[in-house]
Amino acid sequence: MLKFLSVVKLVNPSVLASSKRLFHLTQAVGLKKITEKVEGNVITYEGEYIDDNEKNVLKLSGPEEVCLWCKFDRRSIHIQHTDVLVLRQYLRKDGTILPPEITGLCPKQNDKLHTLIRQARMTGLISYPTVAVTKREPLLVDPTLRPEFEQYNSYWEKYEVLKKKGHYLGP
Amino acid sequence: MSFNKAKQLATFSRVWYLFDAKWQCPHLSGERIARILRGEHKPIFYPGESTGDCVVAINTRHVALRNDAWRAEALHVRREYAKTRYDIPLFKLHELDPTKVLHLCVLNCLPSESNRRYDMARLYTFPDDAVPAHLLKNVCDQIRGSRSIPKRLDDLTADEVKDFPQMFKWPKDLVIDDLDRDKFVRVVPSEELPKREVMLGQRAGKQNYWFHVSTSRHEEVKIN
Repeated sequence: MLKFLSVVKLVNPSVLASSKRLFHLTQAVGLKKITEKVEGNVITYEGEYIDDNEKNVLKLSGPEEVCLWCKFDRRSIHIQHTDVLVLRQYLRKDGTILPPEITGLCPKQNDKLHTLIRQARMTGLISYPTVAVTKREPLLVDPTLRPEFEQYNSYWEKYEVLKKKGHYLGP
Repeated sequence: MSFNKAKQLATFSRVWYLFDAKWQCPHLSGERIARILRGEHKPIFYPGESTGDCVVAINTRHVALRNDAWRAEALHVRREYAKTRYDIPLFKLHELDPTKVLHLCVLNCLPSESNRRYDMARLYTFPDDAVPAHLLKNVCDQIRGSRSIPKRLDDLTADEVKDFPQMFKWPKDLVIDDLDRDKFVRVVPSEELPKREVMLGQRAGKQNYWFHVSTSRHEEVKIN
């Protein structure tokens, strides 16, 4: 019992008070969305399971420790910035990119993902993160609202080609 | 037999081509246009003779340059006297004259010792799709572009998104509320932001790229 109390003290109390951390301590069964209801003095938290479309997940044969994009590379399928259907799965609702812990990409392919999404944003295929994230004026897909040197159409060469050329691919 | 006759007629007369330059790279399409303007696609081609065809290029305002060429590349204007040379960045040039970029790319592909000024006179460029009727009635063929028009994220239909396979499996212990980060971030007013200037003509650091957005550094705010 004493041991249990000491463990609880180590955790930041403000984190414990917020709803999102408490539910991590319970048994994790599936992808959840947590809703909060207030009825007078009683506050109820409900965890709803979400259909995560598991049947539609792409499976490629190969060793398990190799990430999906590396398997693509082995089959000589090179994802470009124009493949918006692929890139949109790695974005949050607010336009930021998911971390590799969730997406399961190796650091090399994670760099590629960041570069491709940045290129797609620059060419106006994907919108930028919202104001709350960037903390500045929103950068929009609408070309007339962008700076003058980015408001015309452009395209990017393949990532592998740019890498070979030694082009600046960002941080 | 009549087909052979048509080929004969098409070879010895000036055929008018239409080219839609929307989302096309002017460097790649310039080579094709220059070939046709010179007449290299014809069997009767001879360098001294003018055997070329006419090309009407439309939508040159929506031409797509590769990489960051709009920002990084420039037209170098050298005038005869000292200290009178200057660079025009391509986005500035495009703003002044939307047909100039395609013109220069085609001109670059024609060999300089030939009579390329006369070949260039057979190229008609228009910034939008409005073409005068007396030119359009001559057109009988088109040049196909090499690049396909990319689709924007908001152009996609719900069916396309639904049918596309998912790239990764969501981890089981993930709570969806963690993904909405808008609640935990304070919007900083514009006075507090440092001002940055964009450097033209050279490869600057990441802090000088206007598109660089560092998403990892948030200002965490307590909710309660």
